[in-house]
Amino acid sequence: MPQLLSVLSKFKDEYLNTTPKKLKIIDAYLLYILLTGIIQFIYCCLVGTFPFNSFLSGFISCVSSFILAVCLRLQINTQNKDDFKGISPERAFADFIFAHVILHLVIMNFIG
Amino acid sequence: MFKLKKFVLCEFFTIICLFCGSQSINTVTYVSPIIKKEFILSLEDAWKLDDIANVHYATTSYGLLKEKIPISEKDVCNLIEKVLSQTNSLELLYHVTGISKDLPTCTSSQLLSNVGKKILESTQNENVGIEDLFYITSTLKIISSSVTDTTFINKALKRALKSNETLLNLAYSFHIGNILPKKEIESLYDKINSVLSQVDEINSEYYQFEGGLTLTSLVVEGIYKLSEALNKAPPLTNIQLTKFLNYFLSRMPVSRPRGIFGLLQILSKLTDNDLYAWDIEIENLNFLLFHIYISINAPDNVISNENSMIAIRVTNLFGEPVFKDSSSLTVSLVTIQKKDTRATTVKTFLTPLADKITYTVNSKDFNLTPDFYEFTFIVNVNDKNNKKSIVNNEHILPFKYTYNIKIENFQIGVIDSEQTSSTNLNKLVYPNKLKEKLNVDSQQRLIIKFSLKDENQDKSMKVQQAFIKLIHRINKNEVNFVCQFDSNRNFKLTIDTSNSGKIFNYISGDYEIILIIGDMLISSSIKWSLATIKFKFLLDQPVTQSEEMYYYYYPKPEIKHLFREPERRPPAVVSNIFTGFVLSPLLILLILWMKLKINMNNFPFTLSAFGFHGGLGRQNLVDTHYSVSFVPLVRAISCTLSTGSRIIEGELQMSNEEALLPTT
Repeated sequence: MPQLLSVLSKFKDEYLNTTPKKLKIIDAYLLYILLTGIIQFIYCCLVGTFPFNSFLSGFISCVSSFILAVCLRLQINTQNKDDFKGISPERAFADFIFAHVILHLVIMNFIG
Repeated sequence: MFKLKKFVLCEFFTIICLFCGSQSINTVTYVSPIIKKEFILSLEDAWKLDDIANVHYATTSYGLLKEKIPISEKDVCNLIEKVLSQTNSLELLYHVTGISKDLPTCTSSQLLSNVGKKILESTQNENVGIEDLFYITSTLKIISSSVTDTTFINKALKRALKSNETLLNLAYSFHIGNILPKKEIESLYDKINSVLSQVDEINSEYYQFEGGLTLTSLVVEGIYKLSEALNKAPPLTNIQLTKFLNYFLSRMPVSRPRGIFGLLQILSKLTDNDLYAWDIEIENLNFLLFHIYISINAPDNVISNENSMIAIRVTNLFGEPVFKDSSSLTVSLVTIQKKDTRATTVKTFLTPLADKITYTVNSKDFNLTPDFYEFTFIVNVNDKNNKKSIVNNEHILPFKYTYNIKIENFQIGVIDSEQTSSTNLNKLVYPNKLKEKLNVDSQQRLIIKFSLKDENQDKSMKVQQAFIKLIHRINKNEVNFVCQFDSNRNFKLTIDTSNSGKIFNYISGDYEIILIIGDMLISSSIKWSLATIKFKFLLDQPVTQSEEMYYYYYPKPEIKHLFREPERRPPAVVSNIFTGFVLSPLLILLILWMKLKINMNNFPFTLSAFGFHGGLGRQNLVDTHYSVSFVPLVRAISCTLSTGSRIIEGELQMSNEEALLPTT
């Protein structure tokens, strides 16, 4: 157990010290999306799925936003620079915005 | 010798008639008062005096119907004078002279000479058509102007026929021909057969020409006129002529003035003409009898013991006496045929009544029994000086002989199921009702016995319908039983309570017993409420309204439709709390971002930045209203993209080294 705690504290230190600020902002955003999705799921389990379309769109919106944000994080991360040659952070952010526009167009239609 | 010959001829003729009777169709209709009224109604429009042709048709039809025209003759006279002064049309001249013939007060020598002049003028025209020739000859005939020069008409007729020998032209030529020399008429007479070959036969009952009533009546009338001019019988057989007549009579409710005119003219021709072909004096036996047509019918075809007179009406086609002197006509009843048996020959003469139309004979002379009969009547012209004889002289008319029925030995009673002999039954006489109420329980039977007799002959009769009807006193439920006719020629009905309960739906209680006797040959049928009975069934059921009554007279159950039930919804409070929960991570996000010291220092306060962020927001809004309109969405997207590209350009200028530095 102390080992686990030491691993965790080391992980926290590493994260706080070495992760760039932009990634931390995205991580905060990811946490926000994750929590929102979890709360919706709890609501669905406890109360019911009515209105089903709205639940689905809300939940799918969370999942997709999470995926898109993870993609953005991957592309912005300097450690992955080799994998995403020629894709600037601005380009990645523009892609993120565009994907969101399309995603929410679909979701708003599906929400009923 | 002569008498013998006449008798033989009559016999022979009768046999021929009996032989052909099955194929020839008897005409039993005539211009009845109802049809006459209809004709007059249809001709009413003519008295507006706006069409000279209709006025002509109406005046002639009124004359044939022996009716007086409903307007002042003077008005009609003024009309024809006005028309005459204005026209040279041959058709109008024909109508003018036609009216003047029907209304003698309108005829003046001046009018006739005016018409004559105009007609003569028209004969100067070489190319006169066949219809015009018809008008010319008809007009000349009416004004009795002797045509000195028939060569013109003859030539014109030949020319017209040569170019176009249609049915209509031939029909007209028959009418035109009768003023021509005998030789010319004979050549036209030979054409009658070719015209007759064009006739259409319908259902082996009617003959008509393609062209309807007007053309058919024109052709037949033309044939008659031509034959009259030659003093010869038309080459038409009895059956052919009868079929033509059937067609004319079938078209009786015709409503066009021209149709009425043609129909009445041909009927009057068939009723009264100068044709005869069977002349005993010259011993020229010709079975094709072309004389007059009559109509025979029975106003009431029911005879009985009380009303034993067989009465028939013998009239011409206009419903008038055939001859002024009723003794010139002999009407005889030749055969009586009972249904499904052979005919018996009777040969009895009928007595004419004072109206000269009705002929009667007493049926008691023939010992008839109640049944359906077909009586064959033959009408002959009695007067040998009267050269007319009757074409359709054999008529078969249906009659029925009815009888009065009486109920005898009527017995009703209740006995035990085991009991075989039916003693102690109550005797009842029609139309009395049994005073005491009968009681039947599940171990007993109800027995009804009676016999039916012909009131006059005291003979036991079998009827078509003998029913016992039981009606429940409260719910009016009806149960019917058929009475059985047994070998002793009695009617009997047994209702065994133990096994007929199902028919009554096991509903015990008081029932009214009604006897119903009906038959087509009974003069008055019987419905007799004879007793009240109380049934007691083993499986007793409560008295309910009968299903039938319920079905027809009571409101139907309301039709209920189950709509889809709405899904169960959570209370609004719960949903609202969860909305708060769902929004709470946003707070965490903001706190985290603040902890990360996120700042808006680098936010470029430019138009494009506001445009971009505003555009994104707008886009989200419009997304929600996407279904309302697509255009605002496209505008929002284009705005976002165009401003977004500028922001990215601006961002590129900034060093992102700083941003990528790890936070401390």
